[in-house]
Amino acid sequence: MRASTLARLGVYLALFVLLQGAKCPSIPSTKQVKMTVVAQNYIEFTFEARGSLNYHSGDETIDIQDLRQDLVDAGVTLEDVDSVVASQVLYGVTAYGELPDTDREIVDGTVTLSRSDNASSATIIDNVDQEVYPLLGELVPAPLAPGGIDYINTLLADVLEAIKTGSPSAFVVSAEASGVSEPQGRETNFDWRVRLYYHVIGWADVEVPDF
Amino acid sequence: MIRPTVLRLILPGLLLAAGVGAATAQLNEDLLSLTDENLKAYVDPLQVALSGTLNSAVFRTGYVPRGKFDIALGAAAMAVSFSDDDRSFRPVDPPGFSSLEPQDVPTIVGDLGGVIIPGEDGLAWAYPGGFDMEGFEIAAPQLSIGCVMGTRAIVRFIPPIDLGDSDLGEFEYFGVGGQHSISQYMPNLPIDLALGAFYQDFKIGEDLLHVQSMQFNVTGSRQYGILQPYLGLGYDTLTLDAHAEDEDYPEDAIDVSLDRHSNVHFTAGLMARLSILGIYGEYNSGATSGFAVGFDLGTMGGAHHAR
Repeated sequence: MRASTLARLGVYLALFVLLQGAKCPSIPSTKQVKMTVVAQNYIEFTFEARGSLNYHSGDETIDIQDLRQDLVDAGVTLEDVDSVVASQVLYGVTAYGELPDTDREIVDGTVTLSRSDNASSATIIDNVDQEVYPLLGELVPAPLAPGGIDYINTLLADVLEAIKTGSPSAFVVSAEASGVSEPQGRETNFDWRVRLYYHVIGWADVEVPDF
Repeated sequence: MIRPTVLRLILPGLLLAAGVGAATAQLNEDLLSLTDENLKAYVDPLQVALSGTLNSAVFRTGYVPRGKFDIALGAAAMAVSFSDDDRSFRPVDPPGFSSLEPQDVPTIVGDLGGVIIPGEDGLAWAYPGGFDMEGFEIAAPQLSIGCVMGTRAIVRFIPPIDLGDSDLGEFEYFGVGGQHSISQYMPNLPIDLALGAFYQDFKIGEDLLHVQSMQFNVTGSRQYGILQPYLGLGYDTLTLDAHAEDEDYPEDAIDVSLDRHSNVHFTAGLMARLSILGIYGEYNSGATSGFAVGFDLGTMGGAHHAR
């Protein structure tokens, strides 16, 4: 058999193998897998600092039904939500009304969190000694009080249980801030906020390529 | 106030959808909690895979006639496999979170199970799982046509495809470039030699995902009967930009531009042509290593080149 004939047979064989292996790569087959997914949410408390510095933020609600719907929309089975954990506590200034003076400072500031469902409370931020103006438009890590995150995680454990069962339908929490605002000879005038970030960790069915 | 920041779920799904089409469109609802820096590390193996596949099988011959009709229409399938190193990365702690102990977490191609890293003060940071992928494959139709003054045009094109999800929009892909014969200026060369350049661009939606790659290449080949071995040396760059926005929370829009990925690219391949049917296979070592195979119908290279 001539070499060129052998080569042609080789080409046909290669083409045959190629076509056997082809499964229209631009439309690949897929497989269903269950993978860990993470939703990052936050609770935000806002404060208006005027005059002295003892302020109540107002109530904030963790709406369990909204949270459950968000998770379902994202493909997470509610029974497959593993945990809810506190991940970050940030704070910052949203408005500053004392310009051109920029020397406002908070001394020994604290933030205390309270739950309405069990009347418990805990200090989550303390020892805040901070110039106010540099925080305008920023969100920076807050100095955490010992045990404060444990308190939040206890709340989040109850949130996890509620995600799975649907009850209660909401948790209401509030925050209270205190501290010394200096200089004291001028009216305090700024707005600020605290954000408690938390992660909801669960499993979702997703479709991935099957190569 | 509670607001789900689900936008970070979108990007990996988009990236994967870009590679595999409508089948994974639902991944836009996947969930992530990654900072921009860690998001880049999470998707990096896919960026490398995109570069390694897109920039393969473009140039398969160094022979470009000076002035003769020459055409080939076919398709190439390019594939790369992921190594163990591709499956995990060491995340950087976000502001306000200090991990108690550094720990690796899955990349987008890594294990399905995520990792929760304990931090100081009782905080914890959760990282999502990956898609447990062993490899990545993409295919593209390609048309080569020429030749005028030793120059050939090369086009890759897929008509816009509706991904079937109103949040994603259409998938668009095209590539354009060409080769110019060097051999015509050096008639005593023992091989055919050509310079090539090729630009590729694919998008999902208006701004959701935009991948651009550019390749410069020198290809040398020589005909032996119906067989034509070829070697290529090139330089590839690839950029990936993504934009995700929840219309209810536009202030939380995410813009991610992965760093330009550039690398030298080496190709060794073999093409065979029987009449108008050509088949080829090649090995590529570029952004990553991989193989490409394909076929075309036409006259490019091969037996139509008689030295």
